[in-house]
Amino acid sequence: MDIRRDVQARCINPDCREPVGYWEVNCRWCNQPLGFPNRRAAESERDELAKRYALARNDATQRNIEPLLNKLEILAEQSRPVINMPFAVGGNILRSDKYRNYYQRIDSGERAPATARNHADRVKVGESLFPMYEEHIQYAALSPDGRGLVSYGPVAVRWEVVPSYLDRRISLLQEDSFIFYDQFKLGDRGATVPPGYRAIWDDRAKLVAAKFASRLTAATAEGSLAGLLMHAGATKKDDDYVEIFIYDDVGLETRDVDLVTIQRAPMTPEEGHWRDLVRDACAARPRAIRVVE
Amino acid sequence: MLVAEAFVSGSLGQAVFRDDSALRILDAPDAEPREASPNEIYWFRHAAREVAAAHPEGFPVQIETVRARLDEEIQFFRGLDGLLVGMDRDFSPATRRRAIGRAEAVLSANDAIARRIRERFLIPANTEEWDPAGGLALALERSAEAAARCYQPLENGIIDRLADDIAAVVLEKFGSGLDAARKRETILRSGILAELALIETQADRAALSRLLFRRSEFPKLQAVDPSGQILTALIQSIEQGVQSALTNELIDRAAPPTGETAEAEGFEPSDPIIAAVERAVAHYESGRPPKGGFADLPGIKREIAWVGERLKRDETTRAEKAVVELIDRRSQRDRREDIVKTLTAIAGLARDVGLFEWTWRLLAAVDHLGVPDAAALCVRAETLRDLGRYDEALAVFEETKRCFPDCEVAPTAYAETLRDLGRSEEALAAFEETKRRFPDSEVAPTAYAETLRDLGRSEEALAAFEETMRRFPHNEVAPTAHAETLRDLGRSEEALAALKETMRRFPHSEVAPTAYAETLRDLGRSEEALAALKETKRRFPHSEVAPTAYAETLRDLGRSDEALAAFEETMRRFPRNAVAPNAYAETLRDLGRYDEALASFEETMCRFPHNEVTPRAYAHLLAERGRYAEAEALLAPAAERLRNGGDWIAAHILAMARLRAGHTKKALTELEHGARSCPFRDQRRFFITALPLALLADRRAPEAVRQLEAIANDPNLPSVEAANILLLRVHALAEAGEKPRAQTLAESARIIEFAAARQNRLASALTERYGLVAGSLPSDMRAQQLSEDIATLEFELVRPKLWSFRANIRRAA
Repeated sequence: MDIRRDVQARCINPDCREPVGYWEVNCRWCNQPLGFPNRRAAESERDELAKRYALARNDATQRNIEPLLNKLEILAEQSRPVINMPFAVGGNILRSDKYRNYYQRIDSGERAPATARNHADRVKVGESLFPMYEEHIQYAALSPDGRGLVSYGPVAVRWEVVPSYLDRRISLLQEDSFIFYDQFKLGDRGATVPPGYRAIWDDRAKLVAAKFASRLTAATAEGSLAGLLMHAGATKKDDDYVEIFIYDDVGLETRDVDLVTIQRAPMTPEEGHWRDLVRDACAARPRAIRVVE
Repeated sequence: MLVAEAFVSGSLGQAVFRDDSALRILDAPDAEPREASPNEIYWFRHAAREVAAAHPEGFPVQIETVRARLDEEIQFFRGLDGLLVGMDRDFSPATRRRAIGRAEAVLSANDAIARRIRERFLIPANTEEWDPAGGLALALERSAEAAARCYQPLENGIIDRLADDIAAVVLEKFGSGLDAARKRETILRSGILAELALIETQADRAALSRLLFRRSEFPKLQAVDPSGQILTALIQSIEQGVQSALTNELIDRAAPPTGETAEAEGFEPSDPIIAAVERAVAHYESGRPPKGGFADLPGIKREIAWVGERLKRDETTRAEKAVVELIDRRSQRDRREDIVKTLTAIAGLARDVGLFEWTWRLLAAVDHLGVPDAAALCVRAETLRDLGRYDEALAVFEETKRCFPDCEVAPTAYAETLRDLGRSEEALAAFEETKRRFPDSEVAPTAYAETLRDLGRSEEALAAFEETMRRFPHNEVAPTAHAETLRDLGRSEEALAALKETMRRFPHSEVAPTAYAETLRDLGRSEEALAALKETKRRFPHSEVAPTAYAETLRDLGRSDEALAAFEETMRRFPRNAVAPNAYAETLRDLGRYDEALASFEETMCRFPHNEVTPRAYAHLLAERGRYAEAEALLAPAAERLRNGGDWIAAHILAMARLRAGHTKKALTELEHGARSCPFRDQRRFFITALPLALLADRRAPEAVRQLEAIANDPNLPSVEAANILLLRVHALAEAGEKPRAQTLAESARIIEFAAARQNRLASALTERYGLVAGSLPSDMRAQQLSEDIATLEFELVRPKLWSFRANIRRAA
């Protein structure tokens, strides 16, 4: 299915009903909110995901590992989005807004640094999965325990998913988007994104089941499920996890952050300073954020 | 190597640029460029605090230039962020000290960067968010002189006053539109404030004059003020201050020495405010004419508000300095009458936050100036009223009415004082007279309607409010009070709708949204109330009422730990607010942390010696803990006096304490007296509600049942109390041996969503104690424990509200 063609619909406002683009967040005619495009795309694939999930469950039943699959699904339900980042980024985003008054951003939009077209590979992957809106996408990982992919930075920040914020902006992909792009040869002429590999937040357990059911065996230990759900490899190419995409065009809101995990000790005094800022900033939040080291 | 689209961020310590078709990142000034990972560009765009173009016009630059710019921006960020973290209470002292050290290293190493940092840093700082005094102390502690010089002008108020001067000049030149606001912001951020602060600190008049010729050093200022007219006016305005500072210095040099020498030479060290007034009087008596005029009024108002804010935050030293400077400056340009008005306004603000000693000092200063003033007399009378010296207050109001027959404040406040004393009929007559004499006054008709409400004449009160709303459509107090009267009458949905409409009509007022949330709370819709209060807190960050009400609602819901944290935050932000520390101590009591609660009350009594509520709440807890004699000693004077509503509350608490201590007959007599004779409707209701408990204790359960049923049938019974009455009825019926009726009632109670956790606990205790659901009775030991719990909970539930958020809301209005 090509979402450029198929995820095109009409405005949901009965008084408008004009065609809306798959990349649009609001109807350009009546400004009716349409939902975020990545989530709409994932929602349009729910039937296909349901079929993949049913196959996975059948397989598990036949192999008598259904209880293990149930546990994996529960673990997926309990998992949350985690983004790993350098100490300095953590120190900046977790601090209160009062600092904004003293700092300044660049003056005009035209001069905004890098409209996210950061390098050729990224552009290709982004254009395939998020055509026309890739610059607004932020990448996270589905984490069962608050830890993330340390190759992206030592500070793992976990968000609670609430209906008013992330739930509306999130979509999930079965693999790291780079691996998925290569696996399905999305760079080939005429290639389209196969349906059923993306999910909305509510369907995360189904997506996890569809991906991992075949890897479960009677010998799989229950304690190894978390490591299966997120495997941080030696390099980024070896990482195996469910990727989360968050649509945000103004900067991630950190109000719903509930856990920060510092996955390695600072290696320079500068990092040490930022680590302390992260700790204190978390403690000072109206709802204190737990920091695990 | 030439690179394009290069940007640097000091906060992330990174630069981003385009090399051929790919974007690359530099992680440090001396690092090798590398490709960006996912999210990194996003972070650069959204997480970095400071982003700057490597070339000011965005042209391609050599990679060496990018490296140099990155180094410069890292230093700049380190210095600025170090100063900010150093005055941020959110961070631990160790982190703040280290941040100041980092800032000091940058400030003392590079003059150009240090100047950039000062220009950015020295803007008005909200002291609710920032702690420049703490920053200064930490900087001095580690001898960080350059950092200390940055904190100083924020700490001593120079920056705030200069910002006010700028605002006044912009207002005068450009008015108050959007364009003027933009200009003002640009000027404040142009860096001129840092320069002016330096000049004012050094009282360097020559440097001030030279500033006109240095405009090109402040390009942002030049852009909004190409002709220099704003800067010229600003310099003129500040010159007055500099002149005043120089004069002060000369006076200080000529002033008598202090300490032992002073005593030896026969001088008494004087109050600095009185000393400033004496200087002003000397100036007036020298015959030099004043130079100012009404054009300065907005600036003066801002200065008064600034002093008020300092008082509110308990920063009395800074407030005193500012008052002295204000008197010195204004005496050069204004008339005595104007200074009297200013001092009176500040005295009123001091009274608002309970700093009565300050009020008396300022009123003494007003007396010293020798200009009779109606407003000053009213502040004096209101202060006497606050201190419970009602007869003196009434006498001063009467004197004010006689001397200033055109003053509309005195007769209204006179009538309000009568209302405080429960003399509602006299108050009504006085309000009627005031309405007749001052038909354009909005205050008297609202207070008149409120008095009708006090008397239980709710329908008449409604009509009076409606009339006031019709005549004064811009008055926001009357619609809120109208809605509350609807609620009194049990018309809660109408009340909520009316408050919603008021919120829509007065979007900038915190009064209606807070009352709306309070109404939801009374109706047991605590979660909705919490959400509404949260929104009110967000929209009105300076409101003291909403955060306290929010914490109280958490307490109602039994979320005591969260409530404690919320009270602590409110106490930190509003140190002169006496409600939060009382409620904080009560929450400690809820948690069974009695010793801490008692200690907290004791501390609050020391901090707010004139506050009537704390000793009562303290006595209530003493009684609850079995320390009856101490409670009685605290409450007896007020209970014997019985003048105002507070005295009647004390009498109620004392009667309940007696009941707890087993002096049932005496308690019964006192409660009966209150139920019969209390002139305050709200307080009387508490006596009526508590009376059945005394009857129960006196083994007269059937009488208690009859009385409670009569109360339950009262159509004016507020919904929040209806739930209490229902629970007391269950208890009385069970004690009267009418178990089936008690069971039916308890069943109906199960569908009630109680507003407070205490009500839920009482319902469970009653059900278990009398076997109202399971049918089986608890063991003797358990029954004894439950009876004790029931007594404690009932004792708590029938206690009068010691503070009213509505009163606070009105005051805010």
